[in-house]
Amino acid sequence: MIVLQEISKKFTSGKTKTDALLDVNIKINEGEFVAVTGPSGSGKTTLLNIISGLDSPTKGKVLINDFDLKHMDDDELSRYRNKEIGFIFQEFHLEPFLSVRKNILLPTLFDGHTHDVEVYADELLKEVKLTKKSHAFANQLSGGEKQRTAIARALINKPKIIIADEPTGNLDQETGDAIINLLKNLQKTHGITLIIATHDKEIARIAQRIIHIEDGIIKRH
Amino acid sequence: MHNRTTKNMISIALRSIIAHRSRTILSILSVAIGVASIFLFVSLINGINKASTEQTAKQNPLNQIVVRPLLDKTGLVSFLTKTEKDRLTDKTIEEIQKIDGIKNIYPEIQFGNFASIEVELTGIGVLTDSMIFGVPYEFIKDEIPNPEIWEKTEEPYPAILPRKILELYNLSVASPQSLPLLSEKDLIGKEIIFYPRYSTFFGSSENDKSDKITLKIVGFSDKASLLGPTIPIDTLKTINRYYAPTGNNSYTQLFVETLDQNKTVQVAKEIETLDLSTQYFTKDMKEIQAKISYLSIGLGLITLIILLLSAIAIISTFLSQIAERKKELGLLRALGATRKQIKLLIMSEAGFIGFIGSIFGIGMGILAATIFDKYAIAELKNTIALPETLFLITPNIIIATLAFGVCLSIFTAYIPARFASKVDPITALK
Repeated sequence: MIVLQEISKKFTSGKTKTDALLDVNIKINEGEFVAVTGPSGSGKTTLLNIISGLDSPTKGKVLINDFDLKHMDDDELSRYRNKEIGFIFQEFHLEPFLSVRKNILLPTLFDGHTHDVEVYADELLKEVKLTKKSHAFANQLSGGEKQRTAIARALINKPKIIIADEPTGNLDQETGDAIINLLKNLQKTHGITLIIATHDKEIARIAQRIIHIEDGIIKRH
Repeated sequence: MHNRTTKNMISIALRSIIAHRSRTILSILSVAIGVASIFLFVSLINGINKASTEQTAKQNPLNQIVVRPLLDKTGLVSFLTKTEKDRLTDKTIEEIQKIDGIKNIYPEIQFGNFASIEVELTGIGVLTDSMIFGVPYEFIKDEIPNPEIWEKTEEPYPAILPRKILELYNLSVASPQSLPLLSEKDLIGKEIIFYPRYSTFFGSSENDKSDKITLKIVGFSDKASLLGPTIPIDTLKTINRYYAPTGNNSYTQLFVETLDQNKTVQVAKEIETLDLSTQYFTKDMKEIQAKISYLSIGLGLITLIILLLSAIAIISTFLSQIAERKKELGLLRALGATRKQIKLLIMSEAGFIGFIGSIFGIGMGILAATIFDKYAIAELKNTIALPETLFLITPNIIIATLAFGVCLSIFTAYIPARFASKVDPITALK
């Protein structure tokens, strides 16, 4: 379970201080599909960054299965991201000099694993329908194929949480819908917690729960 | 597990340097220039060292000590006054013979008056003041085919010349005046006229060219004095009795041969306690090494500047690539790479670049050395004395330079690697 208690995040730029998040309290259950909505600059990405351990709050606690992230040093946070979190970005962020398969396997390179990642990569390639493209490079893929590669990469270490920041933002409607359906199916079959930051009302509609943020304050959850 | 992640980082590094070809080539070039300069510097100093050692060993074998009176007790005044005091005599030889480890002592004498020699070289007669030296056969036997030649008691008397004199003639007379160069073969058998009562410099009422002694060149030796022809000691003693009866009967120098070359220094030290000056291989080498060290410092400074420039080029290339690769590095951090792993990634890339750059650098160095030896030495050979090659390239130098290049690249990449490890994934992935 993910618990955010009294989370605030302030950004300082020169003399100006901005509250990106203010006294946020959220609980997200294991296996839940949550959509984080809100206008641009409302604090959605900051919230995801804090949950994933990429950023730390100015105030408050982030408890992942009752463990406070602030007790982790940089190496432990790296390991936490590697093992517990799967990332999906709007810009895909694939390594251009690696094949689809190697991109999927990238997170497995930083730490040990208990499952056979090579076999699992083949299974994931089948699930995201990229088996035929496994040796292609990123610049040879369409937008949808890139995002499917990123989804498989997010799943390779069997994480408990998938964090997707505007995963359909760079895709056309039809491809975006396909990606969301794929994510939803994978979330069900793999039993993972899926947190998606989005502007898309359609995605929000199919999520189990919506967390709506405006100016860093939770308006609805 | 740690080893596997290290291997993984190295594998990503290899893919990354292949993917980013242009900056990889730039970095390789920077390393190659630095490595080529250090390679040339080390092999040049090594080559000069070897040539100097060989030259010194030729003149002063490892088991030989040249003994002379102390410098402040010799010189022109001593020569003019013909004093026996502080000179090398049979008594000196007896004293030296008492020292343990002496195998042989070969004395060298000198004609006791001013004299000149005349020789015809390439159709031109050369008349010059010269000293005449005398040594026993045993001392120069390696240069003369048999003792009969050396012990010839009739004119023309056998004479040997120092090899250096031939080099000096070719360099300072023949080359500048476009005269044919002379070889040992050209001069062997040539006659030298020795005027025992005639000096071109110190003219006197006794100056008389009518007395002449004919010498015949029978060989060349590095052991022979640079100041004039060397003839059999007994012949010179006879000439001295007739033409310089008032001259002293001392020796100019003694060539002491030791039983064991490892004891040469010890024997020399004991000879020095007899108030005599010594010269031997190790002592000569020390002086030469001191001179070479000045050269090394000079060349080393130039090499250091080139190395610094290479290091700066490597740092700036790596820094600019890190700026370009912020997204890539940020992604790796987001996906779970630790700071240490990012550092390892950049330093592995630097290691590969250093290895390839060093191979290129060594190749460039070998090529430059070969070109220099082939063209420059051939051009300069007649104007300055140079060995066959100025660069001594050994497997050790190649291995050491290769290791140096890899280390240079890794060390200089450390600062950029630190920057890379501090890339903030949030900012990088925006």
